[in-house]
Amino acid sequence: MNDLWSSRLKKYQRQNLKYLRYVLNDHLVLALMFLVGGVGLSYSNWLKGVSDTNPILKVLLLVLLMVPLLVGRPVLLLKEADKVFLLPRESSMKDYIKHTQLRSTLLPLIVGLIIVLVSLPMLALTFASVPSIILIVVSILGLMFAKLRFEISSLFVTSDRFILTSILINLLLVAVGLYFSPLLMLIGALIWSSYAVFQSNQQIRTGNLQWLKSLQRENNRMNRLYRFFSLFTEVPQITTHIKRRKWADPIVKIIQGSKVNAFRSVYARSLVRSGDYGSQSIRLLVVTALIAMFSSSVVLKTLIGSLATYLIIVQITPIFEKNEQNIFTTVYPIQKQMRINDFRQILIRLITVCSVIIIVCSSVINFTLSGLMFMCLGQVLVGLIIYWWYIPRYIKKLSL
Amino acid sequence: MSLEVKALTGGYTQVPVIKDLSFTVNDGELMGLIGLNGAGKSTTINHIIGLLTPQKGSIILNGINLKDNPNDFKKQMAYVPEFPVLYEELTLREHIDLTIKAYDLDSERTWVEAKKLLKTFRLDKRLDWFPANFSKGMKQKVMIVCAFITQAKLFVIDEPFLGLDPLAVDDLLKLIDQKKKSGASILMSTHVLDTAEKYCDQFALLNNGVLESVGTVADFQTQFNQPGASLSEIYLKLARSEMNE
Repeated sequence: MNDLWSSRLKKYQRQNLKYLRYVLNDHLVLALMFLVGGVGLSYSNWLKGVSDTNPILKVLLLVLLMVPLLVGRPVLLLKEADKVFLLPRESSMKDYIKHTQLRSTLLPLIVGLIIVLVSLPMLALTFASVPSIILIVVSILGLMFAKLRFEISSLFVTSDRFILTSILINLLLVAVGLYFSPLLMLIGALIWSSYAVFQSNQQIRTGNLQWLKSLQRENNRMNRLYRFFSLFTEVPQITTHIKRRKWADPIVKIIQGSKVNAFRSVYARSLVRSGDYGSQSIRLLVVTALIAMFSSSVVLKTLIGSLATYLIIVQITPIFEKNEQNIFTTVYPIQKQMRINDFRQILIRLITVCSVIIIVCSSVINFTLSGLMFMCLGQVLVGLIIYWWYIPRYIKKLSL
Repeated sequence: MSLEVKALTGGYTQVPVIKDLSFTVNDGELMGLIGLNGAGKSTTINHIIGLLTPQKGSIILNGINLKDNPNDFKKQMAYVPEFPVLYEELTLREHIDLTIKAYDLDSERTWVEAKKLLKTFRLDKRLDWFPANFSKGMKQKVMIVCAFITQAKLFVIDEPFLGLDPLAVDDLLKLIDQKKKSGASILMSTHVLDTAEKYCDQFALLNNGVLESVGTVADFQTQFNQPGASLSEIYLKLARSEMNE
């Protein structure tokens, strides 16, 4: 079990490092530096002017200090097949889980450290005494530990009530520390974390690993992680959940049009119901629409508007390939050319919808006739490029 | 007439998995395709439904060659895969609608038929669910419903009995019988030999990609010199002796 854990941990960390390289790319680091600088500057300006009796201070501190007590889930590194292959090792799963304790503290610890650093000036303003601040920081550490213990031990019992209680107690104790006495908070935190150690040990000793619950937790955690990475690069492991989205049926109708062919509605529905294609495009469209609305530079609006339409369409083209991979797409008596035509129709309708939204938004606030003309020209040009250049190339590449 | 497979040779790569298969499934006939794992049953089926292109030979359905006119061929054929294949983003209702559109069926009439089948397979309350989240057996029922609402002349069914509850197996056999009576041909691969023996009119026995024998159980009894033996007994003895060779 020790070997299993360490080999999985190594693999997990290698994978995270690989993705972190994409996350911490030059652009992001640069943007982050500016962001941190800007926010830091306004924070320090605000601190200079704020009085130490301002009630906002304590509310802000309460919110900030709760963050490390909420983030962080057990890093289990369990795989779906474990419920079959590790079943005979049921008893040693407890040893396996022990390893997660240390690894799982990492994220909340990092977050906690950042939060403490950020809130240090505010803590200093509020308490004006070093021992008080130390008491609070130590208590936070204790509470963090207690909550994580309950997260882990909850994998051995069916109920999650200790996690919920833990969160409530944390909130209560942080409030006590900020509004009454840090010492009281520390005493409370010590009592609660001792109880956590006792209670969670009891649960782990008497319970058995709840396989389905643990796997579900781990899958959710990995999926959140992958979703974060997928903001920066392609993550193949990501599993999307299909949602019915009944409210979006009118959108499906707009996309598929009135002449409903077999595959036109399949493409439209995939687009609306699967998480990966639609949501990114919508985000891009909203950001572009806002830029188009509030920017007064015609050149900027035209360029960004056209680029957005292009990117939105490029992002959703894999839908065609995905449907081609379903064998029924081939078994059904529908020729490939028909499917390609349906796909083109869908794209034309999408280009039109995007273009209209972007153009209308661009004309709401800063309307000029020449601006409108430029916007239209840009969108038409992009539409032509997609239709005559991008799609034929995409389809040709697929059939090779 | 109906399905004629002539000298079919093919596989997934240049190396042929099935070699020189020839058999005919007549109108109103249920042909059982039997053989050990890896004998080439699925490969044969994949060729017949047009997922793979034959290296040699031809597949003809009512005079239409799959190679020359795939679209008209596929219009006459419906397929039930061993492992259900569904569109994750479509509900059960939309799967049926898609089938109707794909086969160009009369929507109203087909829906009457579909409702009947859905009720038989106890799926009628789940029309607005995503079948992708169903259990394996229920997914299989969805595949069966979608295939049997078509007016196909040939039904290709890959191992239908594993995963279905006994009630559903019985209902499926009745459906197959109905289609047979209306003149359709059915090609079914299976390992459940006792059921196959009761219901299939003919068998094609595949071994190592080669067609060992085609015929009824009585033919097999004579050919392999085992009078009175069941299909399962003949098959087991044959398979064991093959392995010992």
